[in-house]
Amino acid sequence: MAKQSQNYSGEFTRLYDQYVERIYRFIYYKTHHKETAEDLTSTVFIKALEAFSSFDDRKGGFSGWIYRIARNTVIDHYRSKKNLVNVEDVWDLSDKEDIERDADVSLRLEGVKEYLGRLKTEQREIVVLRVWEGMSYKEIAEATGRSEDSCKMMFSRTIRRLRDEMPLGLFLCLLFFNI
Amino acid sequence: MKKETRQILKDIYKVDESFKEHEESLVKMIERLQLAKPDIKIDETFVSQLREKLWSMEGAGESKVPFNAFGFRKLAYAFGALALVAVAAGSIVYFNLQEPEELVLNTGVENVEGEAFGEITFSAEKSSEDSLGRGGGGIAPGSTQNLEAPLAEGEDSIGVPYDPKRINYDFVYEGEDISVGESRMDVYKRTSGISMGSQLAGLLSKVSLDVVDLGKFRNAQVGSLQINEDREYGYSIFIDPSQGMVSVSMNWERWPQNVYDKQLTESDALSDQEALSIADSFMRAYGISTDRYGEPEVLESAGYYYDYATEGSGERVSYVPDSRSVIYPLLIDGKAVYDQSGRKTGINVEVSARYRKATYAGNIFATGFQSSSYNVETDSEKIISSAQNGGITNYYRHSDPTSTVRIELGTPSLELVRVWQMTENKYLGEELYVPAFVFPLTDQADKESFYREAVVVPLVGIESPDRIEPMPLMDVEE
Repeated sequence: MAKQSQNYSGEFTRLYDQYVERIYRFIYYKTHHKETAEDLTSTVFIKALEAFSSFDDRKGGFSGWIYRIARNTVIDHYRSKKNLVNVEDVWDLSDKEDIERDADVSLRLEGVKEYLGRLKTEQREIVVLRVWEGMSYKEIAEATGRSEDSCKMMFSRTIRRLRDEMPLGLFLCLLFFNI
Repeated sequence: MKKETRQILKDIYKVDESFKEHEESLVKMIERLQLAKPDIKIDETFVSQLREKLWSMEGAGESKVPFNAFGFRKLAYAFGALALVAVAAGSIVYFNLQEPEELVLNTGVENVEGEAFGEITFSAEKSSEDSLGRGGGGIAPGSTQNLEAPLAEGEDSIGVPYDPKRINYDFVYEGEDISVGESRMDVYKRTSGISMGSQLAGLLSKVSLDVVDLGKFRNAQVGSLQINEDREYGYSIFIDPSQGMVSVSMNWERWPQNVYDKQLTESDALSDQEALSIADSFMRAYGISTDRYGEPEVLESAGYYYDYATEGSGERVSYVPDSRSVIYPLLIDGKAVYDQSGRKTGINVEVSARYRKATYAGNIFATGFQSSSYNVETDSEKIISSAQNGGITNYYRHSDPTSTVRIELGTPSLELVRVWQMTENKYLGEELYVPAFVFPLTDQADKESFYREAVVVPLVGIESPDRIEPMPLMDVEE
């Protein structure tokens, strides 16, 4: 698409405007730190611009392509911090890790942090993309490199697990206070 | 239950229906998850800086196309938040509007003292025969109708017999009783765009060309500014700060011209829906704000396809217009603005049937208004009487009409009419927006040659022709 297009830079500009905030949020969910998320978002779009001439929309949408760059960028970031240990986002780090995080995020996540933290990275990712970002299964499939059916199945299993593991007390509390 | 939650549950049930047994707890859990979503706002400064960084990379890299799609797409910047970052490259200047600097423009309504715009009057003289309200249009392509009668030898043009239809119009009010209610109402005037001109000049003063330093010009004003998009199907924007007006038109040099080779047929005609859709896409694509405007309408709706039965031959000739006009009606304090012929005015977007694209958008205001209260006519009988004489545009009555057309008027709505008022100090005059009753035509079946859509009666400064007194004879003292 872009390679032959006379409107090469205009097209990338349009896509940048369309995706920059979404990509930033996606990275923020994985880092919980503003400056880090901004650095990684910059890296993502610079990589995308450099590779844009080879992007072929017949092989998949821009959405899936840019999200995959974002996922890999975050993984590279944590690998560099952890000396090649396979860490994919901030949830996989212990509280003692020397990683900066925004304090207000911790407060916001109080109550569900523990349960989201127990999930595997890909399970947590799918919950975040579906519930927080409102992405369709098709978009999630493109972003994560899975099939749509696989995403649906994984999301359902994750919801079941969350329901089973959230203690009764939390539910009573939620019901009582009508949160 | 929120819509998003309902959709999530629906998807889960498709995979495993047993979830339905736990719906109540699932709803609470999902909504709890939603509440836990961090409130993340991206820093706009970061977005701009990254965009600029990408732009600079782009400029140094493969593409030589200036990264100006950021800016021209946002036409609103031109008068709401315009930034001009000039990148001099030899003799070429790229205007990149990507990082807007706010121009401080007052686009609101400022109230000033009463009668501040001077006396407002309208001529009560009936129109001459040359300014009849006859409509019509051009001649259909291929028409054999001959408008110009041949001159007989030795006969000058004055001697050519000219026998048009002489139609008289009887305007009959069929609406409900009307009441003005208030004795004073606001008249509006557009404010000057001089401020925009000086602010634009201030921004341009930062540009130093190789041949001249714009910063050296003192007390500078931008008189007019034109920016062209150098791309296929590109547009040109023209800004006239002195009038506070902006227009956008096709950049002819970059639009293919071979579309004019073929004759349009009925299948090429733009429907109202398509014209509105194209106009709307154009307005959004270029960030032209419609905040001060009402719902768009297509002018001359349903009349876009004409059949002419040519005189003599009986041949039918079809005419499909090249373009349709879409109006985004200007609203001032919630009232629509009409012209004197009863048509709404506002941003006018021309949509081409040949290109299936918008080719022009004009009458875009980049100024605000002043409002000043005036006494208004409250006598409903006088107002209706004025309407029955044709309103602000009176109609000549022939002494020997070939036909008389009855035009029924419905209950009016209180709107504004745009008028030009000459002033002593400004030879160009001023554009005012005067409270007016707009009487719709309720029976259009017999409105032969009468193209106007409504009859407009200003409530300020109009005299009913009935009130014109003959010039009194001078009393001669014996």
